[in-house]
Amino acid sequence: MSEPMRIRAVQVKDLIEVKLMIRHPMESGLRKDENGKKIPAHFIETLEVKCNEKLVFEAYLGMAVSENPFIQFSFKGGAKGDMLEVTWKDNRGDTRTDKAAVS
Amino acid sequence: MDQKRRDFLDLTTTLSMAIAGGVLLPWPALAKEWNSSLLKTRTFQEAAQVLGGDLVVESTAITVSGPEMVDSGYIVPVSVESRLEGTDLIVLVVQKNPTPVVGVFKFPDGTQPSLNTRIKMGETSSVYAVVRAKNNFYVASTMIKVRAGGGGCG
Repeated sequence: MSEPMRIRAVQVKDLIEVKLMIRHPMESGLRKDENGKKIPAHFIETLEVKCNEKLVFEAYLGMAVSENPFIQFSFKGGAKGDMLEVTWKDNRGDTRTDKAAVS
Repeated sequence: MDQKRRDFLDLTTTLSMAIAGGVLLPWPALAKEWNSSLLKTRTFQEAAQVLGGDLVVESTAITVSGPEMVDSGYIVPVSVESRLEGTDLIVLVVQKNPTPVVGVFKFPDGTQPSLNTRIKMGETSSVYAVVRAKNNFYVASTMIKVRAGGGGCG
């Protein structure tokens, strides 16, 4: 089972600064374990961030994003108390959504 | 041919290889952005035209930054900022990674066209940010030296 992500969203002047720390192995499929067996690929493919149901950020990730991905961006038009909803989906079809309020 | 120009041509090859290699295909949602006729393009200029853009221009209005040198390529912080009006898409490319395209990031209206993230790098390489602004494509790059690669860096 996937672990919850950490979402920080803070208002700075007219911008909402968002920091996402997602827990995911982001396994490339190119590594081998100690027995020389290939470790199968397991990585997040799509990421969506919505603020009050409106799309504010979208990403298609490859396996070269580091383990436990970190992404920081900022957007206009948000306010304190707005609800941020982050959804990812990985190459095995697993998906997870977490929410956090802007502070 | 000067070094910059050569780097740029390398990027052309890298990207068309990435596209031809199907790196971009597993993402169904990308079908709209990167349609299949991209497979036939041989140069990045052609690829940009397929995407509805014009020329790919090197731009000083894009900043790609990261550490000058890292001990391990497993976690390399990079940041990209575009000051081009109308930026709606940024593609991050590590030229020498087995799969060069690290990610495609979309910025709806109101979202600042900049981001920080952490990537894996197999070896010392140029890191490119290809930016789409008003359907034109721009590119900027930085060089990051890696002492030890991030095993299976993708």
